Amino acid sequence: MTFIWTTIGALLTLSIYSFLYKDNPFYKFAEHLVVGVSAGYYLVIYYFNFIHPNVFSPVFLLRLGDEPISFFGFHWWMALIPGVLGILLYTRFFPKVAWVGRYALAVYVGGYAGLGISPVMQARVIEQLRANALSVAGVEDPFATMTNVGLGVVIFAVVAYLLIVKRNLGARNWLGKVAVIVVSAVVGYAGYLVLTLISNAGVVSLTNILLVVGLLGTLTYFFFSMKHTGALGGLARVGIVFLMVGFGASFGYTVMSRISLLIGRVSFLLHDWLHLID
Amino acid sequence: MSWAEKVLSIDRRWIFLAIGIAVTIPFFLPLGLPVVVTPPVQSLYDAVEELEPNSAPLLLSIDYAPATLPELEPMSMAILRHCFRNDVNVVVMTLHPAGYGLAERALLAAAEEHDQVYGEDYAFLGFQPGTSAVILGMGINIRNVFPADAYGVPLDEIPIMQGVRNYDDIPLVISLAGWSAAEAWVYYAYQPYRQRVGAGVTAVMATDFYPYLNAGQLEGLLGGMRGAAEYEELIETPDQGARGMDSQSVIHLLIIVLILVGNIAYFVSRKKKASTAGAAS
Amino acid sequence: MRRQIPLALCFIFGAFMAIQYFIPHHSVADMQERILMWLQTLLAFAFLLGTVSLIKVHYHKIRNRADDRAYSYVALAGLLTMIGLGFIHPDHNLPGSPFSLMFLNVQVPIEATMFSLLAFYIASAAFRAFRARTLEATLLLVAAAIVMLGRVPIGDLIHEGIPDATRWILEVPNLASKRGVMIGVGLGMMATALKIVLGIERAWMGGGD
Repeated sequence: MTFIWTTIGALLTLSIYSFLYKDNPFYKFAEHLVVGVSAGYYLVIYYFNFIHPNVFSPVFLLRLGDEPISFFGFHWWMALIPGVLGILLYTRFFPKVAWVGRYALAVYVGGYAGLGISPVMQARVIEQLRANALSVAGVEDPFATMTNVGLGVVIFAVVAYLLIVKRNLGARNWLGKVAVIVVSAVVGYAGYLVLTLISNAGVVSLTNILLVVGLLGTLTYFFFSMKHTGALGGLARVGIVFLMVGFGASFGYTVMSRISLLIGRVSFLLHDWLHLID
Repeated sequence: MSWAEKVLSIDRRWIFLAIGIAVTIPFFLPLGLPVVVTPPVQSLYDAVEELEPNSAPLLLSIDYAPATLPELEPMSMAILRHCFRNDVNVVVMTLHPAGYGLAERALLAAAEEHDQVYGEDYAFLGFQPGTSAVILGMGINIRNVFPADAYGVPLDEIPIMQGVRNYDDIPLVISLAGWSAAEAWVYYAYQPYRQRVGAGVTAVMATDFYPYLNAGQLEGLLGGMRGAAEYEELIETPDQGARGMDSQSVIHLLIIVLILVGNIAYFVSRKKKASTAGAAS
Repeated sequence: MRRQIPLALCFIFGAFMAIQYFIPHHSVADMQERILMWLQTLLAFAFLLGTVSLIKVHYHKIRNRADDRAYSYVALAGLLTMIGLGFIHPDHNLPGSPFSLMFLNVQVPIEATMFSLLAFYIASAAFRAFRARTLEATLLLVAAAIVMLGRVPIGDLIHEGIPDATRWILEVPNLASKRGVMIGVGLGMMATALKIVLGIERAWMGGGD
């Protein structure tokens, strides 16, 4: 019996994958089937896990859990009122009385909005600002080596940019460009060595400085009340660099995530269905 | 048509086929590369390792849906196995309706492996809607939100729930989620109640959780299938996570090659178009 | 009436839920419990609005004899089957029940597979669209490549510095930028929530009088 159910799952899986070749009735069948099945599943789960014990049972069966409750009693009203409000939400399907649903929506929207104000402020703003208020001197820097490498690469890139784009050096031939790159690399490496000396001295934590500058740059980039020129523009530009690296990390992780989903399905087909692998 | 233009106009179904082959081959020819554990995963492992056996339960909130199953189910299996191996009591709940069936499946599979007894070693509370309302409500009294378990047994009749009233009696909560549930645990359990929270999230979301981890709002973080593989490495029980790492390695290399080839072909064809336009004028 | 009372209700409930965190009195905690239960109830009913919409859409397709109405029959059949298995079968919530088997062997495979299609599309997009046209795009792609290599075992094999570089990218520039975004979005979320509670933001009421 298990094999039959697994085979059903496998065939539905292959139906969905057939879409990669082109749209076809098997895919459409599976797509519509899951829409109906999932809607039915969620309805049953919501009803039996919440609506029945907290609304239907107290209001109509006069039972709250195992305890009997009295008609028109406090618990009865406390079950009826939200139940009625919930049903009022369905008036949106009838245009003439759709405005009645606003009463329920007001409680829902207002309640959840108010609920989130303090925790969001604390978790997303206050705690994050506290965590980023870092000492830049006299602290250990576990990322010192990589920070120095990163800053060395930045120095190389800036020097190469200044020489090639601003000073137009190496424009005539490839040999010129190679010479500029080599010079930039030497300067970048020298910068890395100097930064390493600074890190080893333990005077400043370059990583913490980067974190503070990165946060300020990112916040500055999203500050549109003033034009991004001068020092503000420079800081916003730094913010863009940090944002691009952050988005690159997110993109790399996104690729990993999507691939994992495929790996899971292939594993199901090869292991659970066909038993071709351990 | 130059080679670059031919490459750029390739039918995408060939790329799909390449991906399909690349993901399948490592299942038959495993590379067997070791998985190195990173600090965020180690932190969560240590937090679970410190829990006392046969004492206050770990609360595992399995909040994922079928869409994120391959990334998060290996995490739930690894954490459950870790707990059961250490005789740590586990209470499982879910904030997502689809999580009901998936949480039950993972819990029963892990419990059977370790001969755990329902009620004495683990319990399943089921599903409750309302994420923030549920998490906040449990901080006052768990029985207000879950008066009974998923099978209708009152919590007072479940041995491992005796004396567990709210977060004061729960040493650690771990949320495994592919949506905002993991963040909700930080907002509504950690911030008001200072409940210790760990998270396992999909790789898509993982980078967004580093600020919480760095600020100490999370005990540890598992990110995607790699996070699951690292946790399996720590509990020395390789399973779905570890098995997927070989395919992941091959496909990542393939995608980097595709990006490189695509860019090279693009710049070559662009240069050719520019020189052709220049010659024509 | 039709707009003033909902605005007043929104303010009352919103303001109470916002300030209840700061009033450690048991009567406030009791009221908070009640209102949390109300919010859960409303969310449960709101979620099921989708099911009603689904039935409406497919019913209209069948009634109007649309070309693809056969699939509407499939969707409604799936819905009714699950409702039937859930409401009629006495132990639907137990593992191994037909309801549970339908979920695990129909819904789970299809949903999981649908999302796994993204793997193919992201590979196709990587080939066709991810171009290092600007400095910023190049930076993004380089960071992505390092992270992609660093988060798989083969990265360790290629060079021992790749996992270190990945960890640095995640815990320094990524952390700084995501923290900045988090603070900005957090302030925005708070501002929006306050606007809703104070009645400045009224889009949730919809149009009409």
